[in-house]
Amino acid sequence: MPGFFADLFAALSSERLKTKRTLALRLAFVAPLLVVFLEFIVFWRQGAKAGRSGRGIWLPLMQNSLILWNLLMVPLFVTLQTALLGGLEHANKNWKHLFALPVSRQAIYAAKQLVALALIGLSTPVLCAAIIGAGLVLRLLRPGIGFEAPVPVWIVFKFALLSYVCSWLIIAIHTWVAMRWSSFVVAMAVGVAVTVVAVIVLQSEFNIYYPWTLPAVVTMEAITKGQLNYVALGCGWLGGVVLSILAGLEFSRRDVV
Amino acid sequence: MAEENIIETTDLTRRFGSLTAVADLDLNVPAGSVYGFLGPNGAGKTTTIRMLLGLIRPDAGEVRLFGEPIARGGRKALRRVGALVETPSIYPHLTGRENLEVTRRLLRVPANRVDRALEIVGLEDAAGRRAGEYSQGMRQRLGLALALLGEVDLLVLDEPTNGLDPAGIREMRDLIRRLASEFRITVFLSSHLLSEVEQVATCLGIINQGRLLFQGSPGALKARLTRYLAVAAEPRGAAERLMADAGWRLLPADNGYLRVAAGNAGDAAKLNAQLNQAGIQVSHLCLEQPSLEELFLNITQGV
Repeated sequence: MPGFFADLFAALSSERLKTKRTLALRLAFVAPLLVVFLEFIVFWRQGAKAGRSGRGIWLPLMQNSLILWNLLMVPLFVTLQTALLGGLEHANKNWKHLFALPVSRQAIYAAKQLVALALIGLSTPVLCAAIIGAGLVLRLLRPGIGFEAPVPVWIVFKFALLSYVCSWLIIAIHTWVAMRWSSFVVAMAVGVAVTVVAVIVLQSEFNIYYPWTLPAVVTMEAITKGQLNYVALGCGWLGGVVLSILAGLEFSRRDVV
Repeated sequence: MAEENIIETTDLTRRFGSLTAVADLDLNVPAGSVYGFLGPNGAGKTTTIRMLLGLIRPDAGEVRLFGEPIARGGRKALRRVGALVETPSIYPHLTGRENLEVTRRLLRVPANRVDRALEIVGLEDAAGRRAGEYSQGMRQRLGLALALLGEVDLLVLDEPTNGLDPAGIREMRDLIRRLASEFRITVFLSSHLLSEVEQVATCLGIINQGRLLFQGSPGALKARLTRYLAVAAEPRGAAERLMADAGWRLLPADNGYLRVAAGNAGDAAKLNAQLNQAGIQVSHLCLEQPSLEELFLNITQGV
């Protein structure tokens, strides 16, 4: 086991260097900013109407941003990031080089998984900062629609973190797909398909069982009802951990031809 | 190095569906040798190399590196192995040096190994350029540098001269020779061209359709060369009959010439006299020796 962790740290350090000059880091900023920008436009145009729920206006801004983020952006963003991480190795058939090194294959896979988690994780505070930033700008541009209320910093971070943790299962699935199939098209097709299905499933009673709607549903329930669905949270988070381990084992047993 | 054979395989077999890519392969690669692993494209060379490196599993048989079996998960022996399989594995968006750094971090070897590897392959000046801008020859050298980063006692190179121009091929050959003599690295080198390895190899293995057809020194291969007399004579049928009756070993005709196995110039005189005596007109009689390349082709084509 100490050997595994030494390999893991080495692999993480090497992954960091590999992502240099790639779009990975920029994407981690662009994706949440884009989502919040769209919400910003909506609130700027609709003013107080956008927050007519009677719960103030900060909460609807956060809620709408998180729904858009979880339902549409995260699956596509995770698809892109993991396809990028996988593509680094597939493009020049680098797996044969990596797997002929005296380094644990599971450690190499785990490093990929952790980088994917870290990139999506990095987007989470960016998303929070963008939500708060958007509200503060609206306070200046559209005074009187409610953004003068105190900034709910803690609440924004709490729910964004919750949705991130619930996304681990999705991240694990897309990481495996991107590593397992060398074609970028497969990774993208899966990402687009599950996102389209998610839009339909969201309206159904199965939305808590579908990994791609689960984060949005858990987060919305927590925001609107104040209840935390621990089973769903467990599925999203622990399911992600378990699947990552299984995927790492499966991947490291594969023949590299 | 105490080991007698650096690589040893026993009954190594691998199938892909109904195709047997490698069958009952018994390789013995002595320490300190440059082993030329020869065979036409599709003979099973790359499959063998992938099994040696633990990239794919054999269906049967065993691989031993440095005397240790490489079962799956047992990656200790790989610490002493550097490999370049087919095309070099590089990240085009990173510089040559960064490419080496990626592998160096994985191997956890000192930072100066990067400079040493760059120096060995002569890429110091291009180290700061992105690998995507490298020529084919430079990429190949970078691939070799990647293989040399660790504490390497065995270098496994799969068709390292593929896609190189003649100057690049010569450079690569000199480099391999230098690695073997100066750094005492055992080199396992695959190629589909005998001419590419015969000048550097101290040991040869010839594989075709997954089976090892020859293994031994280039000298032992040369000993298999049969000198022959190429004869043009009329009437041809009568000449052929006479030669067979007189006990000459007939070889398949080549280039329109009848061919018989022969040892020396004396045989030429003897055959000439026999043909003349029988009233057969001899218009061409020459003692010839096939090249190693011909022999290689004969072996791999099952002639």
